[in-house]
Amino acid sequence: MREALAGLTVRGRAFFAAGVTSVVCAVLLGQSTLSKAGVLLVALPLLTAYVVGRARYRLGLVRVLAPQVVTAGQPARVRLSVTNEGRMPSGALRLEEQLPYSLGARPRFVLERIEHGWQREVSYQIRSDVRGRFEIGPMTARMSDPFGLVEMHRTFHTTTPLLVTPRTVDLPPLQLGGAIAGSGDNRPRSFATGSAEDVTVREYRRGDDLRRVHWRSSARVGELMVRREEQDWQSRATVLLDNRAGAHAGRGSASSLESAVVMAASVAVHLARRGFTVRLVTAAGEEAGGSWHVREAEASAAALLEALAVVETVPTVTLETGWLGEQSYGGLTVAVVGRLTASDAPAMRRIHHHAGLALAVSLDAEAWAADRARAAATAPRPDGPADTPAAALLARQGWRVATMRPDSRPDQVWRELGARSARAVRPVGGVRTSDLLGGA
Amino acid sequence: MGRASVAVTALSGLASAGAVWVATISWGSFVTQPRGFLFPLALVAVVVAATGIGMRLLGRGPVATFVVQLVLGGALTSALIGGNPIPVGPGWRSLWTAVEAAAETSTRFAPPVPTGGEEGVAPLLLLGGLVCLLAVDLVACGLHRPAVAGLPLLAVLSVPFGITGDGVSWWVFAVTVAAYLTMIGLHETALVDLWGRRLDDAEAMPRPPRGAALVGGSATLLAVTVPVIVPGLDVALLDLGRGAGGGGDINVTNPMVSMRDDLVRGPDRPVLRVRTDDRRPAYLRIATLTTFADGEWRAGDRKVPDNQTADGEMPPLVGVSPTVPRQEHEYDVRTFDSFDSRWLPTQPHISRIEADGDWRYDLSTMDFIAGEEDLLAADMSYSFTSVDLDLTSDELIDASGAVTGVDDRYQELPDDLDDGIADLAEQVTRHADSDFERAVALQRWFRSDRFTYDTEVDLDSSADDITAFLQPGNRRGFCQQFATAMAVMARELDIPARVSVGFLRPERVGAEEWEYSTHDLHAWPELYFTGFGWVSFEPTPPSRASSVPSYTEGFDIGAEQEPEVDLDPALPTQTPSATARPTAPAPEPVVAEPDSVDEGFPWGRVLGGVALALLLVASALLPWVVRRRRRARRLAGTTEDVWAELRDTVVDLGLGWPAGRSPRATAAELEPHLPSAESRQALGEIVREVEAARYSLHPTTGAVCRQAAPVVDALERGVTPATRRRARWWPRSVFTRQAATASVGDDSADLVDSGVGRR
Repeated sequence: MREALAGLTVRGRAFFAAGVTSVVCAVLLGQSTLSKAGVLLVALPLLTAYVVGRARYRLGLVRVLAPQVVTAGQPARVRLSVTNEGRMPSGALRLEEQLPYSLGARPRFVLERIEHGWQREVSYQIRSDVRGRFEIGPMTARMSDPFGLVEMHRTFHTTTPLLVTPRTVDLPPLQLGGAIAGSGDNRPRSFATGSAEDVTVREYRRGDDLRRVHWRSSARVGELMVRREEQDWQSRATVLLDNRAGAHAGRGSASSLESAVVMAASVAVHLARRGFTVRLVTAAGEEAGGSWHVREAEASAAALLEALAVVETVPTVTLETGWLGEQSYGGLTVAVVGRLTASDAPAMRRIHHHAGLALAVSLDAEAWAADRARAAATAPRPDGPADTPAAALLARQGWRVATMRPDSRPDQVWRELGARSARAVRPVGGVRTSDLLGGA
Repeated sequence: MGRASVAVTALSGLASAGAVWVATISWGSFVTQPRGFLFPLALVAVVVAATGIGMRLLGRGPVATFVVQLVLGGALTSALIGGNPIPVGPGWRSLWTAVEAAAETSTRFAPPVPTGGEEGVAPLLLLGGLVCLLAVDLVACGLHRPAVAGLPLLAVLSVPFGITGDGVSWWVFAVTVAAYLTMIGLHETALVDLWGRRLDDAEAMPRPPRGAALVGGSATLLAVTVPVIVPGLDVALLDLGRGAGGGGDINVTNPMVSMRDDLVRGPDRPVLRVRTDDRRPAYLRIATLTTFADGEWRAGDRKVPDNQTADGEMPPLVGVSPTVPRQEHEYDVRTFDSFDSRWLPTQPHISRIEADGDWRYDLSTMDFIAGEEDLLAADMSYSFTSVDLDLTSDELIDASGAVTGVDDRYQELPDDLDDGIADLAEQVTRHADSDFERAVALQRWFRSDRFTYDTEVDLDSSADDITAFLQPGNRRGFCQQFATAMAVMARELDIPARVSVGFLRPERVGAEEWEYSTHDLHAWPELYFTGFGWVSFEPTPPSRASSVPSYTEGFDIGAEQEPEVDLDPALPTQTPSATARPTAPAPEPVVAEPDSVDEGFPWGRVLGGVALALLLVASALLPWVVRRRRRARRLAGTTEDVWAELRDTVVDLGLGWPAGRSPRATAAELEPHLPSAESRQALGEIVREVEAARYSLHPTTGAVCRQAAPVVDALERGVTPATRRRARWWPRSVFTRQAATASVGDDSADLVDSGVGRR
């Protein structure tokens, strides 16, 4: 009852106040009609609060979300199962599901006459165009009375998480032949030209999988020798996403980070489908969910997408390179970067050295930052690695760079990457012609 | 639009118009013919409501609806008032004339005001009703603020108070409130429907929400009854204070005026019938005239607050000492239709009366006047118990000369009274020593040959008339003159006196039935003697009143042989009459009756009250007793008993016993409530014991009761004293049935409940 009295609406409080005033005036003036009206106005909210406060209802709610992980733009369906395990509530129950704004309008339901044991299933659809992790729920219930004088709030407790992964674009398969010349013993071979027959062995080190022991060589040498899976490290790929706050421009879903995420996701999915073991690295280091695991392509792609779904900008200034380890040496690295400064050059050089094949997609962050009108007014410049300072920097270090702009499509950029030869190192301010590129 | 919303719109429009129309029924209290304006107003209400509903169903906004309603409603009203639907030009003139006439009528006449006709006030009421209809419809249905629409309704209901001071009858109020609440309820239902998808089994038509009728009905009931019950909020079933004066005074009419007509000129019509065991009923008094002023005897003011009504015991007889012997007789009276009197006839002294209707009595005169405007004593049946005082002349002669217990007005005389009357009174009573003897002397003087009973005289009871009546040659008159003259002379002698008007003697029509008719109307004086109250006398000559009261005869008052001093010394005096003729029948045997004082100590009521009080106390103590015994029993019992006791303690203290949990989980939930580590440890021990008892292969019963008490104490210490007291005297565990521990339904369901019964 106390809670019901605290839940008096504006109308309820106004009635009560008006009633008290009327009663006082009626006593002073002796007006009988006013005293009747005053008693009525005082009695109504109190009686209503009493009746509502005594209501014993018990609602059960089960929420099922299918599927729990969706791509941006794909709908998901929420199924609610509402039951009444208590007595019939004395007024109308108004249920509202709390949804984040980006998931659409909040669904609302009304329950009025539900007896004990009543059950109903209802479903609604949600769709998000923005990647991220969203909590669906909790559902709020509002209990009111027939005259709108009292309102009590209750909230369910459970929420259901929805993960919206970034959109991916199908990328065309590339010929990445003519790989960068590396150095050292561990000569990287182009994955396209390697074959499974070549087996080289090395010494057994602690931690190697026993299944990789090559018994013939071991018998010959007298020590355990482990088959060096050339495809193993050769088929490892790293997708580096530079998510530093300073590297990107724009806000919200039109920011360059989103395009970078889409690019990185598309690349990761593509590489995973091609048989690579892909891991995701951001400016803060290796992503916990995105490290290498031996699993099948779809599963690893799904894990990478989930990791990418929640990538946010970090305020660090430098690129973390601690993830460059023994195992990543010689693999394929695809870097999706934004603005790069001179202080990033050492990190990028290290990464380049580590990688067997280094590809980079450089986002022209200024294009995102620029005004839309101005960006439209500028004539589309022909792609060239010397366009942006970041691209130039990377190209100098030996990366294969393609520049991405707000209007570029990821598959175009990828094709451009493939068409470029790593040798095409251009001096700064070099000729911006495309005739030096190794074919379109 | 769905059918439901169509229905809601229609109902709201009808409810708002209906509320206003029912509220205007209350205006009928100050007009003569409520129908004169109610039926036209009903027509206007229907038109306004229909217009509003139609416009809203077409989807027009509030302003457009209001304009159309104004136009149509105004046209209809103007047609009803002035005959011309278009209020321009000649139509305007006729409308204006009608309204002006109505306004003038309303200022000229006091309520109830004539309604119809040329100068009826109906046009004003129709216009007022139209304004209220439009206002309520606009606010409630157009602007969707039904709660605010109560203000115009309250204004409508308050109009009668401003004009006549009357309240509103309860059924008008109740129906108006019902319509108002319906408007609010419909609005809320519409809002709820707009909220979202309905999941329940909704019907197509809107149904009244659950509990609406209950809450609305009880609130209306309270509103109608509480002001009546609570003093100070008195609705005042009757407001006697309006008009002149206050404090419950009534200005009364003068029964003397009509008496003359009835007695002298009218036929002898039977007026009322009495059934009584009194063997000689006489002197049925209608009213008492107490004031002699402005040339006539008048009934004077009466103080009749509304707790002095004719239902039940009457106060003790005015001025009568309790030692005077008395006898009671039951009277059952039935009046005929012709008796249009605002006074209720009774015997001069009564001890109780039961009469329907609002008959009020004044404490000093003990006569009964109608408390309501249109209440008459015609065609009534009522009963009373009369008190026959057994007065003897010896006692009366010995009455104290000091006048106590009576108002001064009974001795007041106008200034223009002839001084000769005082001298005459002195002369007549010069032989008498006591007041009573003086009174008897006056009575005997009037009944002597000096005076003649004659109904043909043209005298009234003014001062001049009395002087004329007392002139030696003019001594002719009827009871009015005799009574008023004797009363005046008694007042001159400083004896409080007043005149009573009533019936002299009835005619026997049955075994114990008597009939009074108009020719029995009579007037007689009553004089006050300390210790004996108001005593009646009979100065009218024997040709009219054959007998006199028994206490006025049988003794002598000195020598009455001396000549008198008359007002006109020229006329010779007459010999004084002999002592009163013994014409009265033998005096009644004095039946010595014990004084009926109170009925003794009311044992029955006292015992009943004590028993009730004991019952209440017992029922209040019962929960505590039950709980204590339960606790004592359980703490000495098995493990399960101890666990149950713990649960009950927690429930009593309102801490919330988690349902459907294992003992260990329950203990985990209870731990925050235990302040000390020992109590927590004790709780752990109890849990272990419970688990061992329930789930182990070889259950053992350990000494759990040792640990239970500290836990219970610790729980109780952890709450406020108020909660402790409440847990002790109103333990919830005694009242609520423990629900099954497992809850119904899917355990994975996220539950929300109303929180009632669990903190």
